[in-house]
Amino acid sequence: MPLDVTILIVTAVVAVIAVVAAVVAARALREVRQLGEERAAESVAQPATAELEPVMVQTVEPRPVQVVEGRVVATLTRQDLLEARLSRPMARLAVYAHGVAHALRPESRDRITALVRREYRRRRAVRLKIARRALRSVPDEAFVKRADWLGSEPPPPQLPRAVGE
Amino acid sequence: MMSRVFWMATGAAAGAYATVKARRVAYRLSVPGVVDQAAALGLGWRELREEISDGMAAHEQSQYLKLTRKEQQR
Repeated sequence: MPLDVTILIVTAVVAVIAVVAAVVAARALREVRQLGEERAAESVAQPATAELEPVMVQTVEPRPVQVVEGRVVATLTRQDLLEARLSRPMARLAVYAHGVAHALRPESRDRITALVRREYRRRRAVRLKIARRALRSVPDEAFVKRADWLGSEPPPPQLPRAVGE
Repeated sequence: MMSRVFWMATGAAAGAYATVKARRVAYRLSVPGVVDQAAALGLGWRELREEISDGMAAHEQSQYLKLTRKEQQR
């Protein structure tokens, strides 16, 4: 393999790693911000003088243990069996597949598509509005000076105005 | 005369339409447009993930109930 192709591949791998790291960092930052906002909202919602709510402590009863032929055998409860059945790889895969199918239903698909389109249009409208406002805030003299710089004739001190303006 | 007016109006409408479309495409290909598209896609991705987790939770709950009923019938 030629050297330049090798360097290209290594660079591509490094770029992919950098992009993944950036995405992970951005997600972590967003989570930290959300946590901070939630805590701030909780502290605002609960005054300092509010009484503390009693904490419900769920005690776990010891499971019945049998000794069979000198070996300790823990009896599984029904809950354990159900959780074990639902945590099998195929069961998890089926659950995930149902989640994906649920998300790709026509109604939610259309909703998400419309949401993306609306968000893009909103951002574009905001950006164009800001640009128009910035353009309006620039005085006319700036354009006149720019015309000077282009080498045109020096403008008259008072620009002619249209009738009725 | 009518034909000329017709073609004039048609050309003006086509020009206006093409101008609007070209301006939108140019914005899409510019840096702010790409940023806006990425932000909108990020929002869509988050919504999709929420939908997936909702569907997973619903299916898990239904499976759990089904298994519980089966266990009770035995």
